[in-house]
Amino acid sequence: MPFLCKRCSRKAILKRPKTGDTLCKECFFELFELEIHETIICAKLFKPGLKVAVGASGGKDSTVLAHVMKVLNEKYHYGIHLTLLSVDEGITGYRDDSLETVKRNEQQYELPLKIVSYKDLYGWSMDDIVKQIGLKNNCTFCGVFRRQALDRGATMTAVDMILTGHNADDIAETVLMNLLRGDIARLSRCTAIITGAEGSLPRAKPLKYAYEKEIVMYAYFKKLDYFSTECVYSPNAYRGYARTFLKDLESIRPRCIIDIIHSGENFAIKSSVKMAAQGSCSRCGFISSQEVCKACILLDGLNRGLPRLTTGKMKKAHRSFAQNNKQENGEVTSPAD
Amino acid sequence: MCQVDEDGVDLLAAGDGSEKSLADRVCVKCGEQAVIHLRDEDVKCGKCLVASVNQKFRAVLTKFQLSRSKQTILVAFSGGQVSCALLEAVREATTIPNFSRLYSVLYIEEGICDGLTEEACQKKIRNIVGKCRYIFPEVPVLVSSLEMVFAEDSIPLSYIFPANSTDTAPLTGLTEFGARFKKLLASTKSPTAREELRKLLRNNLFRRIGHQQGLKTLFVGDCADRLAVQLITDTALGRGKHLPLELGYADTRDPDFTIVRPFKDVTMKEILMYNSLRLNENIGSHAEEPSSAKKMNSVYSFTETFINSLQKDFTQTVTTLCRTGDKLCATSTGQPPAKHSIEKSSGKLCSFCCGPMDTSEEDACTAENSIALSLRLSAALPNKTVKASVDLEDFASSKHSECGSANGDCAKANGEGCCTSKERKTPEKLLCYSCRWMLSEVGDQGLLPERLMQVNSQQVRRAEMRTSIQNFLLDDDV
Repeated sequence: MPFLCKRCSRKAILKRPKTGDTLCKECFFELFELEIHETIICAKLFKPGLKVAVGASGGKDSTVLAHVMKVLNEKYHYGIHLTLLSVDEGITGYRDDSLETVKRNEQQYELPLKIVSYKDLYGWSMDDIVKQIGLKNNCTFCGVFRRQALDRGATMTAVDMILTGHNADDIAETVLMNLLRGDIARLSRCTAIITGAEGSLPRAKPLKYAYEKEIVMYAYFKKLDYFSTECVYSPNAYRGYARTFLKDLESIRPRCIIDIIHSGENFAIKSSVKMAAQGSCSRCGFISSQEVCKACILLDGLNRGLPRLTTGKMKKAHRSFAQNNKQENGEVTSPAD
Repeated sequence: MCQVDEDGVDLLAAGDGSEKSLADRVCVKCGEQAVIHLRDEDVKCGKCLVASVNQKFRAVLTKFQLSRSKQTILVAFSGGQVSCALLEAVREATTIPNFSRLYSVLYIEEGICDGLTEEACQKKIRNIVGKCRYIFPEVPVLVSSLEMVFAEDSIPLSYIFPANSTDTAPLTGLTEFGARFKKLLASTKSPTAREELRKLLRNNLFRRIGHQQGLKTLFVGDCADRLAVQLITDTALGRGKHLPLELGYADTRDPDFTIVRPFKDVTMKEILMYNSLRLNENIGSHAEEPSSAKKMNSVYSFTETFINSLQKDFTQTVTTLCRTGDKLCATSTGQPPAKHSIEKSSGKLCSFCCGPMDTSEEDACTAENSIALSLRLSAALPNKTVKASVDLEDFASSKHSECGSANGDCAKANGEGCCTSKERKTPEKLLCYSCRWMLSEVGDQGLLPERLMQVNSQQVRRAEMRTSIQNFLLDDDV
């Protein structure tokens, strides 16, 4: 006996992970889009005239995000101007392929695209960095550089806000990871739907409450074009432990994902706990909780051939940076091509 | 899959220095042969380890001004490793001048949850009492069973074994409420919900016995490893706001009865070594773990497996989790988590678990409202009048009740929540996020202990009274 759609009684082709409802694909699309629209309205993310860049990697989350934002912007008249912003980390066999996907998205969604590369911004691609430091701590470099690269790209395109495709599973994973590592500062920030201190470009996560499985379903049934290979340098990341655990939890109790986010939103930190204040880097001016931001520190280490120094204790790294700064009169050079 | 900063990972994975065998190492305090490596360079001999565990226990007594208490202190005993160590530390403390000598052991038999027969339960109880006699002969042992939570007025203690008594008279009255308890558990859908319900009922029973006996303090055997698992489990169940009560030295949700965790900072490794040094081999190494630790397909058991395996590769995992838990607080006297997480409901505590309420503002963008929206839309789907997409949007924005009535009209008329709501008996506004889920997993709330539901009704009445006089109250805490 075929399953029927709970809404329209046509033939159901999927079971919704969030609620267990059997639905046809049109009703699923409608519910999925409506819930994201409600998230946007409740969080008051947009106002008419806002220029918004969608961080696009070519993966399923950012592809679905770009598609849904275009659909909702037209349907509900947000009045925002959308562009795509992509970062080329310089990972052969991974990023160059996914960028082709983003370029196709540019055509398919008729949205302007801006690509910024690590090589252009910092003088180092991830392939160069891994050759220098090996496969340990490479995620540290990539993550730090990507964050700033998105900000720099957004500044170049004069947008007012960046949207990223972080979904409910990503947020829940991040909460678990910050608990496991005892990172109280990040724990207090990681569930916010908009982040960005005063003076820095706000970033929002419209897919914050969307389950990853539903995003895959949406992309699959909409036949969206996306690139789905794991980063070749990621297998050893610590996040993998939290991810595996979350998947196990989801298999016995799917609601755990939303419940972890709810817990994260309700954590209160004791006032006696020292939290780093977010300010600006004295060298590059981008957001930083220290006097000099992590990107500048990492770059300094790479350029001086001491990358390991900067992935250990930060005090040592800052001291070394300050010493080097004095010696070279504050000039940070890129390696010769 | 990437992460921004792996500095912390290096610390978590800091080698435990066990490259050198213990045979080559000496105690950092006294220079004797080391028997245990704790962390970094911290290695101890047997004598110093025992002294350290006892010292941590006495420090908690002093912290809560219990060291010279004239009141009897209850000690929860399950027969497991940590309970045995706790009772031994209690006994040790009573030999020291200026420390209290007034203790009673409380054992709650939970064999009914595991389907044990009455004879098996009785045998287990005698075994437990035997262990208590071995460790601390002078302490009286009170025994009750979990199904006694259905008792209306006083909780009959199944047996009281006086100090130094070798009496082993058969127990009576164990099965009076057994059938009701079994029915309640059978009607609860998931193993996780059953485990949570069991834990809540156990704590409720502890409090009622404490009040009945006129006692104010209960020691429980929660060690660092168990609390680390509890932190992740509670987070996964939406109890983030309750963490300080669930993980701290003291659970003070009942102002007249405090649950204290003297072994909060003691790891299982230390407990096992302590037991092997201080107690008979039969007690120390073969002590039976409480039935809740048996493998179930529940969030707690999954989390326990995960933390244990992570601890092997990253030896600081447990201590880091415990330190993180210490930095959290329950109220917004610390840094408030977010401006939308305000205790909007008229009562400040959940009427089921007595933990702080964690309700969001109605229009706030929160996980709670997001899942409520999904469930509301899901409930609206079979409604034959809901055809066009614009109808779904109405359901999303105007807060229709599950039955379809607009603006909660059904709830207002009914006074207790939507007419189709499973939580008919206990209004949602009086329950915290996690208890709402848990009670929705109980097939029929009428199966819950009446005494517990009476407390809920009292809370509802007080909440209504408070709402009517809210504008005239000068102090929010009354």
